[in-house]
Amino acid sequence: MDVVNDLDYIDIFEIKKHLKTNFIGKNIFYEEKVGSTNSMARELAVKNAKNGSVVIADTQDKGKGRNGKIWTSPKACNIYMSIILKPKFSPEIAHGMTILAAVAGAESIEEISSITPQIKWPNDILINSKKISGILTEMSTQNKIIEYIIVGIGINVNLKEEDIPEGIKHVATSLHIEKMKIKGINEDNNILINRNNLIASFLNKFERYYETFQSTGLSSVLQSYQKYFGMIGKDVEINNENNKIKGQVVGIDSKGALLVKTGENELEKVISGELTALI
Amino acid sequence: MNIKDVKDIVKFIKSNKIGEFYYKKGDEEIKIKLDEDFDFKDYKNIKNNMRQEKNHDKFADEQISEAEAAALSNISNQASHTQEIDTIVGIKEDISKFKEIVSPFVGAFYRSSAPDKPSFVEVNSIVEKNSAVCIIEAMKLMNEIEVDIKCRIVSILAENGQVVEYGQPLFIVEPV
Repeated sequence: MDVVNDLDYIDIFEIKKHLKTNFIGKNIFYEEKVGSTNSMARELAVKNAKNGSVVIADTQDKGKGRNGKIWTSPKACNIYMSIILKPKFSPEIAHGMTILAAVAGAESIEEISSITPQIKWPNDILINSKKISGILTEMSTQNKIIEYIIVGIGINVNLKEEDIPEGIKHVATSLHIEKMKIKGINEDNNILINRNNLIASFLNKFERYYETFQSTGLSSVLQSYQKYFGMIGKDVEINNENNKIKGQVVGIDSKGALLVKTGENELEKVISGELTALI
Repeated sequence: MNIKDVKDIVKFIKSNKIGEFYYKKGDEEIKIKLDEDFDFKDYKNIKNNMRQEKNHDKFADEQISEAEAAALSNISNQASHTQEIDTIVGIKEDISKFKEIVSPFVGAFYRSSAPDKPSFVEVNSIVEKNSAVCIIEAMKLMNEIEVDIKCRIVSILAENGQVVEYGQPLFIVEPV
């Protein structure tokens, strides 16, 4: 486990020291404060930032979640990071990036914290059913050609229980909080995870899966995904703009779509929607 | 050719299940095509928008509008086989200047970046080159579709939240 006992800070040289990548993270743009790393990455992508460039911030004042939601982004404790990709593949298969990012996120969290997280389809990362990491992937296309893809990831690392806003306390957690639970609240209450190591671990794994994806497709990435996918057999509800699907999760298909049994002989393939596990 | 003639022709080709009909005499030219899969409502919207923009002289315009309206109304009332009138007097040139924007993958179509945000575009919006017109989402990949030319939105062909297929037309635009 990578823990630090003094004030945790982001250090690009530290990150680069641990990078084993060929192109991801060769250029890292670090800012103490940004609106959102995804927005900054998009601006850089338009201005010809190189494939694999990474934007990291210590805090965001307009952290983006999906559907315009806010991603709470206090300073000096979490990871807010976006990767700029300029792939040659077709946009038809680009949704594989969200699966790939989830696997890289789950593996790196496990490697650094020794806690095995779970993935909620398609790409939320949870520990004890609470969200520890969210991924927002944005793509720009013209005439069915990808201009760029931005893979944004937020990981709650050293966020303290008292710093989680009241409204999301029941659904959000951090590695620090989860480690404290394991160790016991009365012991060393200053367990901090090294963010630099976690960032490097994520980027290393992301590039490895990205290259696997480009050479052999999504199937081998999905094999790793299955290890963290904790939803098989669960009753779920999926809400879309226009309809609602209820059923039992039976698996993931070869393209990453969620397979839900909605009736005796009825199987629904879900590619979009907000998923809620029913208790 | 008057409205009754057009109605009779539509009736005739429907009852005889003729796929395509073409007629030309002097300045008059009419082409009618049957297409089972065509979404009639969308076509009507396109034609209505096109009609507003046409630069034909008044006489030709009235003639087209009249014939077209009659034919369209006839089809919509009888709605089974005849679902498209492809080209009627002089519209052919207009169609060629329009472009389709299609979906690059299977996903949900969204007209705004978030439920509480305004739509990227409306019909008749003028859109600058490299501007987003919609989002297609699949498995939380948010794909902003941009236009590669400055254009006017002629028609929006998908509903907010609708799942669209690869290659499905989403917008008809006119370069400006």
